[in-house]
Amino acid sequence: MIPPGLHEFLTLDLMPLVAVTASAAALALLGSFLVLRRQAMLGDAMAHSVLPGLVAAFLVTGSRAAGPMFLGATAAAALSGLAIAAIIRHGRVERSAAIGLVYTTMFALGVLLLELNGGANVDLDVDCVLSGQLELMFWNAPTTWAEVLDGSSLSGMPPQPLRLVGLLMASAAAVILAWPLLRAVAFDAAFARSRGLFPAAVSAGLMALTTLAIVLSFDAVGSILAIALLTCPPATARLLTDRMGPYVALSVGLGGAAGLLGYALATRGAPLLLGASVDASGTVAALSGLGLIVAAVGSGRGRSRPNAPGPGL
Amino acid sequence: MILRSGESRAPLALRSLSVAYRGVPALWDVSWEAREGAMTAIVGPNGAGKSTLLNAAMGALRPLAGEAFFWGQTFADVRSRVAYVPQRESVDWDFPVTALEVVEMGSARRLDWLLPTWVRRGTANRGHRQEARGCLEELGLGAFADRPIGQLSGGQQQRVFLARALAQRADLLLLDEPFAGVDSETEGALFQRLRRLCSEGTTVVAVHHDLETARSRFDDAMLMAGSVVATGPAADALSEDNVRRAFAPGSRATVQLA
Repeated sequence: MIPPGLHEFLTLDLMPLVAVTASAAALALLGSFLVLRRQAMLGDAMAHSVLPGLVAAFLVTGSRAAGPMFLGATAAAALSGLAIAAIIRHGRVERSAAIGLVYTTMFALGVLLLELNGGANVDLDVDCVLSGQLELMFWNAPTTWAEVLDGSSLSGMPPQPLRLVGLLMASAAAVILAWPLLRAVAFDAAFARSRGLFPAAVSAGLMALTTLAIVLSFDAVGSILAIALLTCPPATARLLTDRMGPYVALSVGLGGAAGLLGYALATRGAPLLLGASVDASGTVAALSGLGLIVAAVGSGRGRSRPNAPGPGL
Repeated sequence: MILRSGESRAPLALRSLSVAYRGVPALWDVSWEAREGAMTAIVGPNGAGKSTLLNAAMGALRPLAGEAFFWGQTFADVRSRVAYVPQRESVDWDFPVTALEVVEMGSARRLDWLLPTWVRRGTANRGHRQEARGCLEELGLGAFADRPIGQLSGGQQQRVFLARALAQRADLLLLDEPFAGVDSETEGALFQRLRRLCSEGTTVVAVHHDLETARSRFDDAMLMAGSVVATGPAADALSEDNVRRAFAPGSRATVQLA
């Protein structure tokens, strides 16, 4: 017999824990390249602007299947990119203003779409957009050790955690395989182009992986987590090291740790301290932000960056 | 390896090259050839299109009209023979990369672009690491190999960039303001190094802003302001008269209309 305490953990907590940790680590991994290229805003914009695409895909197919959701998100992201380019060109505003304008509008559009169809679809509402549906990720876990061994209980697993683990492993493999290439393109795109390395294609590939990570994470843990985890762990890691390998590895570690600790704090710590559990995604996001503050204060690097590029340099 | 018939075999030859940014011409009908084994300075006022010229020649910008040939071939055919050093402003010097890792980008060939060194330990990549280290040492930066580039001075950073170009073992160096932020002593040493490359047959084309050293240190000069103002031996092309014409206010407009 599996002890009841363990069985309860396996049923209620294991799958959400795996999902939130894998998602946080994958987002931190891909986000580390956005932060390196000073494009954190782009990840933020991406996480927001895919919403109308996701909602539209959901409304059309009536399900939260990953394929259509990814297509919808990609379409929305592409549309946002075009809109940003058009606004920069015709609106005579700077790039960051154009990005800010487009992603808030797209996010608002997504929320509006949700609200308008809210009555008909209990499966997707604003709450779940913000913080996902971790609590629905229960697993009909085995009650005896024999069931663990013969694997019969595996079929009852929810798909999201496995997908997120797959995403994390695929992203890690891609990053390791293309490591020198990614470094060259991120550091000096003009030089990389002169060597025939197609920096635009490499960026597009990274962006596609990031979009996929946002979509899969959205399904599991909501958009707040995606937005925070794309930026906070990399920014924290950047304060702690000047080497690219340790930076990316640390970023993934910090993301994963925020996932683990945040989930534990929300489901175990909060009931003790506050008398009730709190939203796990929100706690993970808050924790990753807190980590950044601690690192900035502790390292003292937040004050001066001798060679940071700025206006007039 | 198809040689366009009638094309010159010069390391770099521009034929009526014109480039525009959103309808505003930046480069107008530029025809020019770099002399093999010579050091040529590209000189002109801000906005004269000097960087644009290099970028268009390498196909990073699509020209409105005209072509660029390297030894009579297109850039894509010969890119391994050309080393490019971009403007220092185009790079984030706070990037977490060491001096050696930057230079390795120059010596990397094909498969070296895949897999980090800790995976490839003990395989062929050792050669290109050694080569990169050698180039760093040659420019007096051996002790800085494992330092993050953000910790180096501006002059040292420029030397790292030049070491990366050397590591490519290229026949043509395209340098965009290679001496920006370099003290005069280092500048002298870098010129000597470039001079030695030229004597071995390498061609150097550098965007350069200082008229004094452009006249004294370079063999040839190409003075431009949107279009070509003067070319030839540095001292002649950069005569007081020519320079006044190129740097006069509104020079770009009059040159384009001419």
